[in-house]
Amino acid sequence: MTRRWSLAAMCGAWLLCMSGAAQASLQVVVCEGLSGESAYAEQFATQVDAVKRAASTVTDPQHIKVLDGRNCNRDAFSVLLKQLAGSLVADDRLALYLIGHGSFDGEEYRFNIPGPDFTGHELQSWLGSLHARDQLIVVTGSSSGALQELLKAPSRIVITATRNGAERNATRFGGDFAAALSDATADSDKNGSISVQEAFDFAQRRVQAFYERDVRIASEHALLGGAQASSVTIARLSNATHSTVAGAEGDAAVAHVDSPVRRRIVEAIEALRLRKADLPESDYDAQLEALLLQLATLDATAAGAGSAEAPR
Amino acid sequence: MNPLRSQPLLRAGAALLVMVLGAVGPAGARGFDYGLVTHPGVQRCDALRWGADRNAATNCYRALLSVADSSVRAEAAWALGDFKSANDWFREALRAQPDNVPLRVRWGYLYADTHQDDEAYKLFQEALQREPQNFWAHLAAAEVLASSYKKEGQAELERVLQAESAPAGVRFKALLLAARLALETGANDDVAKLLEQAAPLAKAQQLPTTELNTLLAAQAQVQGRDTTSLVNAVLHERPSYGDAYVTLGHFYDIRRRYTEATALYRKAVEIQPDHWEARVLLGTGLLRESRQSEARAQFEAAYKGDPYNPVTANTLRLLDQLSQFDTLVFPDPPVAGGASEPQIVVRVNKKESAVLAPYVQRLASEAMTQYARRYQYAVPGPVTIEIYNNHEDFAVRTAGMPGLGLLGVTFGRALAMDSPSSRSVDDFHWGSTLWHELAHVYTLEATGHLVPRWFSEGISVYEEWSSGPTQGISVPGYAWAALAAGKALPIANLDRGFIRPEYEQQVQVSYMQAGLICTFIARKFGSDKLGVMLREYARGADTASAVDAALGLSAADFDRQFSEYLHQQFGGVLRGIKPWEEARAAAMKALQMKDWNKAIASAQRALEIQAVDVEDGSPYVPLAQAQFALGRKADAVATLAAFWKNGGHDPQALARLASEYYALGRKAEAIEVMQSINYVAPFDEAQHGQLGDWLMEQNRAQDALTEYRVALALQPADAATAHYRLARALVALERNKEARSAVLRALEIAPSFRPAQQLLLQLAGANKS
Repeated sequence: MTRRWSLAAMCGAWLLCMSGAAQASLQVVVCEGLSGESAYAEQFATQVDAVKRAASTVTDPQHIKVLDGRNCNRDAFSVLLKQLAGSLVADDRLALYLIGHGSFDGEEYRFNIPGPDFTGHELQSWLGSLHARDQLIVVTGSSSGALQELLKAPSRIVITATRNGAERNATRFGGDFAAALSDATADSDKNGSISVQEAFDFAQRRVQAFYERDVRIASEHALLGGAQASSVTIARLSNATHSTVAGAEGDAAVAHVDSPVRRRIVEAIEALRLRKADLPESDYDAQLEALLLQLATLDATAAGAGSAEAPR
Repeated sequence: MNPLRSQPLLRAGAALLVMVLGAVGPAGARGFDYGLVTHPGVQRCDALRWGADRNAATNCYRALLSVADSSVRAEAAWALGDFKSANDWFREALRAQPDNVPLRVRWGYLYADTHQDDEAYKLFQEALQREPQNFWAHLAAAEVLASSYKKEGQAELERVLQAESAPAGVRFKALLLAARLALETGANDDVAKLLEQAAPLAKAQQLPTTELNTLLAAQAQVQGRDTTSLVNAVLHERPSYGDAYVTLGHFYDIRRRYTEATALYRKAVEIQPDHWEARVLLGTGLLRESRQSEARAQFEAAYKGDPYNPVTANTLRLLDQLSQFDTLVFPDPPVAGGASEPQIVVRVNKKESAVLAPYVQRLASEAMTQYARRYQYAVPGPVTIEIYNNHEDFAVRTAGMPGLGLLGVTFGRALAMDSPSSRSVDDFHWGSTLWHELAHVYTLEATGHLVPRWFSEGISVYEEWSSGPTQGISVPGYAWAALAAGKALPIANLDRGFIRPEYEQQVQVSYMQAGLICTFIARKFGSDKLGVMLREYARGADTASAVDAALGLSAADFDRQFSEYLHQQFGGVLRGIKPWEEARAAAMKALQMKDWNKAIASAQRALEIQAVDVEDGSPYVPLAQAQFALGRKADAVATLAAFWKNGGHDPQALARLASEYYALGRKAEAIEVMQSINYVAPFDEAQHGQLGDWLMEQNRAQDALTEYRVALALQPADAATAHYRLARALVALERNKEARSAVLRALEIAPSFRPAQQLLLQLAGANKS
């Protein structure tokens, strides 16, 4: 885990962090593959749009590069990554989304794009040439699990829609992952942003529910490789009612979230949770309640709403 | 919104099961021989079987184990229960005499006895290839085919019965088989004739008459006569002949008189402890009475004696699975001063109990209250509802074997059914199945299980259509086609459509016909007449008498009036099956092509022919989708509303209707629609959360609490919100202590969750004040 991902986590969202750590950038690259059928074309376009909108909540629009289904060919994609290899520095971060079908012949993974496909080994090589240490790679299509071992690297999180290359059917995972990026119910810790882990969990559950609903054997099993996915924010929710800092904006919000007093309370809650199994339930709840009341009072004060505000 | 895809035959197919076990004769026991076994030593030992001194037969067979003839050793080992040695010795004997047809047939019977009917049938076929006119082989083939209800068995049997040249023993055995099959279908005149032919044949040829006399006792039982003297006569001759009771039990079993059947199986085990099949049947009966530990003891004993019976192994595995089930009792404790309604015992997998139990309880209570009033009958004890999250477990619970196509089965005051998790939501409306099965509880119990199958199914289907969670007459296209083709059976013979169907889907068509008949009776003569008929059946009346007593009509007049009713009410679809099907298909195709106007025109054409149509491919769904696509929202909502009110239950279509109602401010209707989704697709956490929120808006906190608890039981991804919602409902119910606990759970997961923080502060403030 690198310092940069941690900082992002602490800030709650990259967008907010950027104001205090402007020297590092988050680059988002989206490559939309060949759809094959009109239904998939619609789905892929929707997913690309969702990823693009989510990315715009955590990075500057100029750092978002989208190659749509007509333009993401092997040359364009490799050129783009080579350009990034020349421009990104170690503190920069990369989020790469490959949205489309893939294939695996038992030896080599291929991402399906117009013209010659690019292979897993080529992707490995291009990513290896990037200086950005912290990388998130999301591959939403069939056979993508073949990339898990291949792309494994320190400070790199790899999400694939399937657990291996043999799961060859078209996947649902991409649609659900994209949906998570703007769905408040995916924000399980209610911090107003969606982490990689939250988006993955949300999508994985949705996929599982789909197959269970139809009592079908699941033909896809998504995998998340790499560490600290809970600490990496990939979308900021627009709905402020779920935010800690509702009522406070910009620097004031950051200052509040990052204040030593608040941090101490949050850390104490975390420490107490770790001791839960060792404490009688009533003691645990009493201590938890005391800490949560402190935090709630502090947040309410910061929001300017006060404790009398009626809950929704 | 996807097109509705229900499977009507399954939806209406919840059924009472005719157990096929022992349908022709108990397997696992070397039966009587009427001339195929010619060795005097074996014949001498066979004569000692089922006698007062059982050791005599055992010692006799043991002595044969050392003779030179391996076919004799095989017969002896078989009789002693050493199936493996018997198999080896038959193989050895056939190696020496490959063209010995009787020997090959006997070997086949060994396979049949060890529950390997396919292998047995192959051996009988091999025998027939060597000797096409061997009537023993034809009869043996008929036996295994008939045991699995295959039509070809009847042809084989007829071949033997018609053959003048067949040996007397074969003819005798064939007459017994034919009589038994006739007795199963209620063809009592045929039974009498067949047994009258068999009796002189036995006397003339000095054939054993134990089986004949047992069938005479079964005939008497079916006719309602006293069987004591006939059974005593059999047992006087062969005191340990367990089949005397097993056979009689079988004829109770297939008429769903399970209590009497189980008592007879118990007697069979008492007089013949090594009758393994009787133990399996007894165990099955005990399971129907929810006496699991006693049942397990019987299955374990059966397994020791006959490990080849798949029913035994499957059931023991199922019993192991049941340790994963919760047993919930409602109301608990029972209502003081004598319950006005029986307790409901729900057995459901622990993983699903918190989700399903509230709805099962609510629906079962409602159904039982209605049925008790409508049929003027109080169920005399607890009703057990078993819900299986694995369909194959349900199948084993019901029939001892996987592969059953049913959704639910009622045994009396116990019923078993599939969980909604075991089937696609497109295929299965679990609430209707429960409603259907609970109606069987009343029809079976109120008549002492004397109700004929068709009437019990008819009332269950009628109740689904008229009072259940999916109201509206819902008949699949193939059933309309069958009725249009004149395949409706006379009311007096409708049971045959269930027990011995003659064409594919006849069972399902019979369900529909039975449901339509009950609907006709209720509409024309009054629904109370259904109760009158039920009481007639309880008195032992047959269908013709019940119809006459309740409706003042002969069966033939009833059939005529029913036919007129069908054509009056459903003439459109009966006369226009083809255009109706074409219009439905065109609507779906147009929808796929996004040709909205054509989809609307075709769907409306289909609905003109048959207005109430919510089955698979219902035109309502494409009609609503096309109307939405054209911006005709009010029309689309009206279409979906009609779909829902007529029994449509596609969860996505209903969710759309609910959200449209909500948006229009029709919140009570939105809630009602959303609640109805719980009876088809209860495992969607978001749906329960949404419904709970709507209920809270309507100040229905108690109902909201149920929904929120279910949502939480589904282990939602957004657990913080689920706990928070629960806390809000508890606050509304002034249960602040529980609310505090719930809000702590929410904030434990998400300490910064602002609304939960505010609720905690509010609770803390309330506590201080």
